Amino acid sequence: MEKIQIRFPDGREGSYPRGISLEEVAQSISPHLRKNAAAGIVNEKLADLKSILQEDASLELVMLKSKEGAEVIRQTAAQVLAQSIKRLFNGVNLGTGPVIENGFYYDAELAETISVQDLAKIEKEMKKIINENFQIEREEVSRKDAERMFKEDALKLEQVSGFSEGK
Amino acid sequence: MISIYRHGEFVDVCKGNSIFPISMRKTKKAGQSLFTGCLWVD
Repeated sequence: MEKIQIRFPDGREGSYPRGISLEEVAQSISPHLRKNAAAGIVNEKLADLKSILQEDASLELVMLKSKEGAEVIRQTAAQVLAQSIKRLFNGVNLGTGPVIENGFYYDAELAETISVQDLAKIEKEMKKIINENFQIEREEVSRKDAERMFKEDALKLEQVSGFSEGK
Repeated sequence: MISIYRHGEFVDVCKGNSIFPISMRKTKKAGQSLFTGCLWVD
């Protein structure tokens, strides 16, 4: 099996099989590290734990408790919030859901008006979603494919139309 | 790059690689309270 060299922030280098994921690298160092990692910085770019390393690279694992780790958690939490709103209310059009300095939000257009009292219900559903423990999957698609997938969703379609396909 | 995020029945889209799949177990571990909610209504 072909090997690649991975350099770590402490100057250490290791030889790993080509095609190894960041999660597998973390596991090879220690199960504790894998358990507490949220993402990785590969050649100075943030990447998710399922990312595959095909060539020599520098790697810094991002821990859940770090500032970057909090951003990763918030990104996922924003998605869970949106999923919860979609489940609970009718006629939901989702806008954007970015991470901000001290948390996250998700813009949503609803057919009905929600109130502060609904927040507890939304959070309860978020916890239920988390306990369902689905695997999160990410895939890259062309703009044309994304437009086709979100053709019934006006706000998303508007976003997708503004995305460039470049990196 | 355009990324699609799938989680159960939920599908979302974003520009670039700004969605980082981590396990729900880790999301749960991150905090007892997922959000202290604020609601803006336009």
